[in-house]
Amino acid sequence: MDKKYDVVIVGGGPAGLMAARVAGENGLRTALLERKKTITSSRRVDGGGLSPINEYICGEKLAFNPKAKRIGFPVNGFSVKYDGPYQDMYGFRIFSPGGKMISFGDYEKVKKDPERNRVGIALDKGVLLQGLLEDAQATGVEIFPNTNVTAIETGENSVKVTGNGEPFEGSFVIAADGINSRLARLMGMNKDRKFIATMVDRVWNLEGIDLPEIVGISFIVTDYGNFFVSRVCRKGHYHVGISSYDPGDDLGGRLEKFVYEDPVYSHWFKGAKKTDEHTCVVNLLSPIQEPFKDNMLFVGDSAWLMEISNPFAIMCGWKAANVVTLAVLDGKLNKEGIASYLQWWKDKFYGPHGQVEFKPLHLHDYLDAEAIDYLAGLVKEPLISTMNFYKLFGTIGSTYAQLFPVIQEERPDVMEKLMCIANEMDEIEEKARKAGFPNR
Amino acid sequence: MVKINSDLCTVCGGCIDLCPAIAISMVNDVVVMNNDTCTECKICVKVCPMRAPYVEE
Repeated sequence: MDKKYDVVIVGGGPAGLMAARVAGENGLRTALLERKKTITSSRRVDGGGLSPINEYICGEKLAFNPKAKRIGFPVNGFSVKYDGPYQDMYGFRIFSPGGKMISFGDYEKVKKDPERNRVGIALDKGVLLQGLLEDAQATGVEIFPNTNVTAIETGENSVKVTGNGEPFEGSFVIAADGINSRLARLMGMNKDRKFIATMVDRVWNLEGIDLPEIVGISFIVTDYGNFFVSRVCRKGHYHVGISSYDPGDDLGGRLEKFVYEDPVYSHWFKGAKKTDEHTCVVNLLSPIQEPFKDNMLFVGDSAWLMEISNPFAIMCGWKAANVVTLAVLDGKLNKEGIASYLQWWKDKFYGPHGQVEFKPLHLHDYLDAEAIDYLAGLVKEPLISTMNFYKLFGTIGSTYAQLFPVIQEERPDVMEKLMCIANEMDEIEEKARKAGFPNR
Repeated sequence: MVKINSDLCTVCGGCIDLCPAIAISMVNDVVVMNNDTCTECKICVKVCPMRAPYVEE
C-alpha cells in the first residue's frame, strides 16, 4: 500500500531535520528518509561549524547563547538547541610554503572582546543533529533511518520516491540530500549546471596539541599540496587535511608527508595523537538557479556549489517547510504555492552569491615555493576579520590587484607567471573537469 | 567484480553519490556494493580518497 504524506523529506542532515521539525510543528503529515541508520553519526566528526557570525549573510545574522544552549536566527525569528562543546573561531589564515602568513583579523583587538569579535564557532555536528532530531521527533513526524532512495516518479501535484523498495508519496518532496544530491541528478537538475571539478579531501583528527597559530581555519600552501588545519569544537583537537581537484592524487601519502616531515609545519603536530580519519568527495557544480521541479524543492547543499554551512542549511529547511505548509493549507500544490521560497532563494542566496566564480587552481602547479613566499610576505597588515568565504575570495583578489604595480616593479618574473595563470584559466578549468567525474 | 574493503572505508558516501548505476548503498551504516547492478565503470575505484573499492578478477 502506498503511503501518502503532505511532504516527504529526503535527507536527515541539518536542512532535512529542520524541515521535518517545522513541517511536524505545523501539523503536516511528514516523512523523513535518511540513508544512515544512525542519523546523528556525522562522518565529519567535529566538523560542525556555525559561521559566519557577527555579520549579515544571506539575510541573517546568527546569535549563539551557550547558557540557553540555543542558536538564534533573529532575522528569521526562530532558534535551535545546541547542548554541546564549542570553540570560538577568529578567522582565516593562509600560510606559504616557507612559513609566511596572511591573516584575516587583528588578534590583538579580538582578544579584548572575543564574544563580539569571533566570526565563527566550531560545533559538534553530531550534537547539533541530535538536537534537531529530538525536536523533530517530538512533533510526531515519521522518521525512516537506514532508507536508501533509489527512484523518483513525478505525478500530477505529487511526487513518489522509492526508499528501500517501498513507495513514499508526498504532495511535495523536499530534497535535502546534500552536496552530491541523488535527487538533483535523477530529476535532471544538474544538466544545466556548470561542472567545475570533483574535489576530494582526506582529513585526520589530531588530539593533544596546542596551536596558538590556528585561530580558525588555516590554509597551508606547500609545493606538494593544499592543506588545511582547523580548530574544532574541543580544545586541543584539530582537523588536518588535504584537498585536491584531482581524485588521482595520492592524498594519504601527501598528508603523511605534511604532518610528519614538512620542514616548516610538521613541528606543529609533534606529540599529536591521530584519533580518526575521514574523507570527502564533492562534485562542484554551479548553484541551481531555480531549485524546484515537479513539486520537488531542493534545499541546502543539494542546490548549492560548496557547503552552504550548517546555519544556512537550517534556514533553508525552516523556510521550505513553512512555505510548503502554506501551499498545503492554501490547496496550491504546485509552483505557485511555493513561489515565496524561490523568491527568497533568489533574493538571499542565488542573487548575492550564486554567480561566484570558483577556480579549481592549485597554486603550486604554477608558482614555486619561493614565489608563493614572496607573494604572502607582501601582505603585512591583518586583512578584514571574517569567516565568510565570499569575503575571503573577494578580499584576496582586491588586495593583490592593488599590489600588482609593486610586484611588477620588484619581481617582474612573478608578475609574468601571475599573468600566465590568468591567461591560462580556461585550460586550468578544463584540466580539473577532465580529472573529475561529473555524473550528471 | 568491484568490491569494497570495509577496513579502509570511512563511510563518507562519496562513491554512493557518484555511482552512475546507483549500485552502491548504505546498509546499517556500512557501504555496500550491489554487483548485480554494478556496470564496472570503476568511478568508485578512481574517486575514493581511501582507495577502499577495488577490482577483484
